[in-house]
Amino acid sequence: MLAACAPTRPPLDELDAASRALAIAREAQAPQQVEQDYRVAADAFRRAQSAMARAEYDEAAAHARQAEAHAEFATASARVARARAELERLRAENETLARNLAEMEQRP
Amino acid sequence: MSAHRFPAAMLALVLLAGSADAAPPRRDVVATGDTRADYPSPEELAARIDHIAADPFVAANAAGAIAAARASLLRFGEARRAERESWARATERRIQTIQVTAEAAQLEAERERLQRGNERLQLDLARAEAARVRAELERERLQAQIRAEEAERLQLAAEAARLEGEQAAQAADAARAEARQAKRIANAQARANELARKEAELAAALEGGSAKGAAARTLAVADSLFARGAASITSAGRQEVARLAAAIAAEPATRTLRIEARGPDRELAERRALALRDALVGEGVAKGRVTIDAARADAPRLRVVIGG
Repeated sequence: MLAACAPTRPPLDELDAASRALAIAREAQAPQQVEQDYRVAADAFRRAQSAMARAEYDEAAAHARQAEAHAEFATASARVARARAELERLRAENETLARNLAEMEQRP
Repeated sequence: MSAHRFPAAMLALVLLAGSADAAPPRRDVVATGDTRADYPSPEELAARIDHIAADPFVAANAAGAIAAARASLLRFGEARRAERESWARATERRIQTIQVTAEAAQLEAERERLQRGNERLQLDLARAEAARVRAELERERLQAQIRAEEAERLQLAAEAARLEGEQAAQAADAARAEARQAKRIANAQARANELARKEAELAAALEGGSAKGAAARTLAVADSLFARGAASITSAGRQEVARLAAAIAAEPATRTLRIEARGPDRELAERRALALRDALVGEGVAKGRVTIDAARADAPRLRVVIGG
């Protein structure tokens, strides 16, 4: 069995992509809404960076891939969390409004 | 965007299948013949993606995530051995992202529905509030109107009462004036009567003789006139006096009157005669006509002799 013997290059593109994905996650409020998921992505990115510093390019690339994918996941999860919170807010508000309306219609 | 609800059961199933920390170990034969793999094969991941993307709602609302997962799958398929596992994990993560994206779309659709409901309720509430304010204003306007009408009614009633009072006062004045007038007329009538009477007396006096020739008339006086041994007229005696006065008045006014009083006590008899005279004068008999004739006698007697 032959191992792939292409020389590994520094995964700069992968790190770049991961960094952008994390930035998008931050813009989507992932650190606040889904702290755990964001942390997994951020940790993966740090591991990628530390591997880069040690010139372990395959390892760095692997972590960078995980960081990017998990950052995307965190972004989508933050969207869910926001939608859920707004949904709850609207449910409660509608309940109050409906109650006020019923009271007002009872008193002529 | 379709409002198709993403089946919760499907979501749970796929989430369990591809959780971040515990990917189910799979014994797969990868294309290179490597039997060590404990991550899914590209074929299996392709099947998962196809299965999830078959849901129309997912396909419509997570198209970007589906494309990203397929791109990741492609890299996985092309990856050299050292990179395969990380690509497999990344692709699995991206498949989960498809499901989460679909869930977000579903929740946002629900949120939109509630938002519209919220706006409808706000509008209904505003309308109800406006209607209540209008009703309140109308009530106040009616009350003000009622109060104004009441005030006017009271004012009119006060005015009518005042007029009534004036009219009553006027009527009272008129009645008093009438009474004064009647009194004046009565006085004038009385004076006229008096003059007529005096005229008649004078006329009778002028005729003189015919009157003298008439026979004397004697009026007996009832015993009840005086109380025993007294010379004051009793209350019952007042009627007797009136009777005598009427009988006297029936005679010509010029005829003399002689009060004859007899009794064992001459002085008492005289006092009684005088009392009777005064009483008759009080009844309108002219004092000048009356003479007193009092004397002692055994039998008490009291009478008025007219013309004798």
